[in-house]
Amino acid sequence: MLRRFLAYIGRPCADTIEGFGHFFRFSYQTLYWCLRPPWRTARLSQEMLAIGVNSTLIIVLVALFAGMVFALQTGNSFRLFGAETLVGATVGIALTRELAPVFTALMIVARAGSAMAAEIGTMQVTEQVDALKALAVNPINYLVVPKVLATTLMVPLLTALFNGVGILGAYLVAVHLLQIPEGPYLMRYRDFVDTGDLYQGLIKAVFFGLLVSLIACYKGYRTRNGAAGVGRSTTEAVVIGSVLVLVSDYFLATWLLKLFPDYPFQ
Amino acid sequence: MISIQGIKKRFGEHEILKGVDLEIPPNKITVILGQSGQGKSVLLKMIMGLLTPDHGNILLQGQDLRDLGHDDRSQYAKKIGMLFQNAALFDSMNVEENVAFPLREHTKYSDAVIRETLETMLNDLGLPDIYQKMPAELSGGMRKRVGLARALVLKPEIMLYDEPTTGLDPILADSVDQLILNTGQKFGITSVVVSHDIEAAFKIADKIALLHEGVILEEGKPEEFRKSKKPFVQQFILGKAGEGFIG
Amino acid sequence: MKHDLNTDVKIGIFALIVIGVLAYITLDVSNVSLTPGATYTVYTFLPSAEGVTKKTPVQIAGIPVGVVSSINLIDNTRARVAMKIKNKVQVTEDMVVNLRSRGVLGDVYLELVPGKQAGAVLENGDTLVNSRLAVDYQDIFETTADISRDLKEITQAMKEYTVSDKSVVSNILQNMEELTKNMVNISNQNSENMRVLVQNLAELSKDLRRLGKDGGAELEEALNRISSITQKIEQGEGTLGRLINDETTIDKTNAILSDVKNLTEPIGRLQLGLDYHMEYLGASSEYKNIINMKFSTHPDKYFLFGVVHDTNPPPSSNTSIETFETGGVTTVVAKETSTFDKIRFNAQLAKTFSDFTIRGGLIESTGGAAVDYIKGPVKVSLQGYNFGNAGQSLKASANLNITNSLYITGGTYLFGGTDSVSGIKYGPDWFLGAGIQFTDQDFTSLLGGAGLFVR
Ligand SMILES: Nc1ncnc2c1ncn2[C@@H]1O[C@H](COP(=O)(O)OP(=O)(O)O)[C@@H](O)[C@H]1O
Ligand SMILES: [Mg+2]
Repeated sequence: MLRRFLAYIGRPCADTIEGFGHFFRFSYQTLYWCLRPPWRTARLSQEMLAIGVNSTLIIVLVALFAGMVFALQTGNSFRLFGAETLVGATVGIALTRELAPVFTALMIVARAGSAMAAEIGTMQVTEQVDALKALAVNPINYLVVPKVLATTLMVPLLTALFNGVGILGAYLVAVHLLQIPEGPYLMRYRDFVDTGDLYQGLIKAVFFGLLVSLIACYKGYRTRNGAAGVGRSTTEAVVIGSVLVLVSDYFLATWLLKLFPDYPFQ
Repeated sequence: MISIQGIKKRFGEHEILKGVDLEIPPNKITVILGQSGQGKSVLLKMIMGLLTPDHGNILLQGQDLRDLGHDDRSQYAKKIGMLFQNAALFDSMNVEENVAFPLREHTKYSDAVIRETLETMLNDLGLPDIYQKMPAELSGGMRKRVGLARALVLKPEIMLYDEPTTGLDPILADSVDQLILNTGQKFGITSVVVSHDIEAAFKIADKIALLHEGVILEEGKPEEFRKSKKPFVQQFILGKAGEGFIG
Repeated sequence: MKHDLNTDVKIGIFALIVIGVLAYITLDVSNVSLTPGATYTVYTFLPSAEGVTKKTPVQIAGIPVGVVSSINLIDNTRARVAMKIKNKVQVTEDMVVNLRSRGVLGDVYLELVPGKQAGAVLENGDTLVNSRLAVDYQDIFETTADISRDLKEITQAMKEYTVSDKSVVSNILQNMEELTKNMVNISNQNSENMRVLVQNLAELSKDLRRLGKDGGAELEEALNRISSITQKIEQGEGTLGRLINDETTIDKTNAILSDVKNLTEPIGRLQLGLDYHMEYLGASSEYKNIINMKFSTHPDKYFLFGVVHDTNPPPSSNTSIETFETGGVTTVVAKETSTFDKIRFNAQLAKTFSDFTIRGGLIESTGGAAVDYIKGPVKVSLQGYNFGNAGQSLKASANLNITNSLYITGGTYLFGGTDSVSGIKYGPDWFLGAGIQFTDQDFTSLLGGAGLFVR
């Protein structure tokens, strides 16, 4: 009985622990190959274009509407107790600290993370990864490093863009649609939003970029069993990536609030 | 040249190789025969260094693969070219980029030199005017030849072919066999060909080995091989299904 | 892989735009003039830092000069607040830190109010010892709006009146001035001045009966003073004025005013009473001038508005000094319970039951209630107010006083009593004073004219 039970729970446990081990070894190798030549600037450019620049439109759209709807909702509720001039500050802080990095990371998981997992996964099951090795090219160096570096660089940049567009969207709705007086709105916004908030968001974004790209590449790299395996890897990359963004956001927020304290008793 | 000693390999419950011993002579063509699923590709990937054996050693000129450091391993990989069973072309690159890839990675050739090398290579293989095609647009035979071009372009000392003629029409298959023979002779390349095409094996091989149920059942020069007393070897040569053989 | 220039151009454009956006937001939200190095830090202690956060503005004369950079709890009792002040602004040791609130939202700021005489300039790391708690403006802004309106009306009416005949009131005021002066001297030569005071009061009462001929200038000046206060409030000067002129409060004020009108409208005749008295607080050596206006809408009801003015509040008045030991360093903190520096307001509703009158509302700008007992020329009042200021317990702040008044004539009176008889906080204080009262009937009878405030 007990042995069967242990065998029953033991297998997934051992698999999980083994998976962790693999993931950290993979991360280590990625770091190793980041610091070692050849440095593939052309591949990096290619990935930065694919992951970052080509995500501009979707990020702008999401940011604009996130800022607009946020301003609309807070504006209407704050108006109930006459605090609508605080909309800019509220939206600004929420965007810079939380919404921009998290939304950007989630969009990148959905758009680029899935593509990464699928691409590397397909290359794995069609022996293209083996072919790279056979041609004396390290696949981590050639495939993974540019993707991870590009994502780690691009998520903060896209987050910055998200901030700008989101704040603009909130401004447009608040000042032009809700008729909140512009002067107090901007004054409050400038009073409350701080460079510390921006940095918090950007630090998060760097971490998110690294995390989601590592997971996506790892899932792709570990793909087995043909087309079905590619599908599973892609799904797992997106699901695990999104969940980890939200979970790690909590811990990052806790640490970053220590680093950039707002209130004395936190 | 290559000495395979007591190789064992298992995947999960299934032991694929149960102790393979084989000597690959230099500058000769060695054909490894065997039924599908016997582990021929696995053996080839071990020689390439893509898989590591559970037991046993693979020595290249007396040097164990596993003892190689990173840079040596990369040097080793450059010395060996491999044609994968399904060609394994990079499907994000067109034909030209695929074939030029090893040159751009490992040489400092100018674009003109690379272009020239590609032209001769692809013309030799009967593949003119497909430079801009993507792998997905190619037929199986064309993919195989592009893969061959990509493997040969660095002029390796050892060439590993995984079923180079499978899926090709007889005429094309024959031309690929000729190509293997020619490159082997022209550059003094050591070739290992994995195949189940018994006719082609006798045509090109300097040495034939039969992999069966995890071991090398028979090996020797083609004429020796043909005279083997072992019933399964004879059955394989004649291409007959024995008792209990389903399929 | 060949290096594709087109790719790099696209990435370059993208990165430039994004970095531009980032730079813009960063510069927009960061107060460039408050970068480290351009500021120095000054500390202060507050009994309650409620509402104070990092980045709470610090102002001098309404101009931002810095921000709060950190708040710490010290000894589990007080808050130590660090203020980052711009280098070009000098903070002197005489400055008092006022915790003020702004607007209906109640967000707070720290106001540094310079003292009477300039003190030494503080350096980085020094501590400002004088701090004061916030006033809860929300509680009083409603009544102050009314006060300013009515003050203005009264001033207007009185001005109109003085144009026609100035003499009587001017004489009264002249006498009041002398009375005041004498009261001031009481502290020095107590007994001698008491005699003069009585003399003056006698003269004053004579004046009330006798009609003088001239001397309108002083009266006008006095009236101008009242009207200038009103004007200032109207023009939005001072915190109170800002509050009153704040768009959001006007609606609420209007609502309250209409309530007041409801109170007055059913009555055909509005009676006005004017009361001026001055008192001297013995223990704290403080003088107070009080002007109250009574609007009687019904024989047994009246509405009282008033202004309390401290002529010369000494710095120690109403102030308790507390010392704290923090790591061997003794810090002196002055706690002030008075909510306004010089001017406080009364606004009360009163109802009379036979000899008793019960008043309730704003007493000296804080909530309070009082009972008056009037029998013949004697009046005894019991007043309680200032229950619970921000951050203070009821016991520590409550003010309770008993006043005995004796009416010498119908309009002039002397009074005396004890303040804070509970003696909980400052111990009992005693006070003495004199006052003058008249109603619009007095004016009518004096002048033989029509009522002043007929509807
Ligand atoms: N990476 C692997 N993981 C698990 N099983 C494998 C792997 N590679 C090959 N096999 C199994 O080993 C056996 C031999 O495969 P292979 O060498 O491709 O046969 P063939 O002789 O046809 O080339 C097959 O049953 C295959 O399923
Ligand atoms: Mg095979």
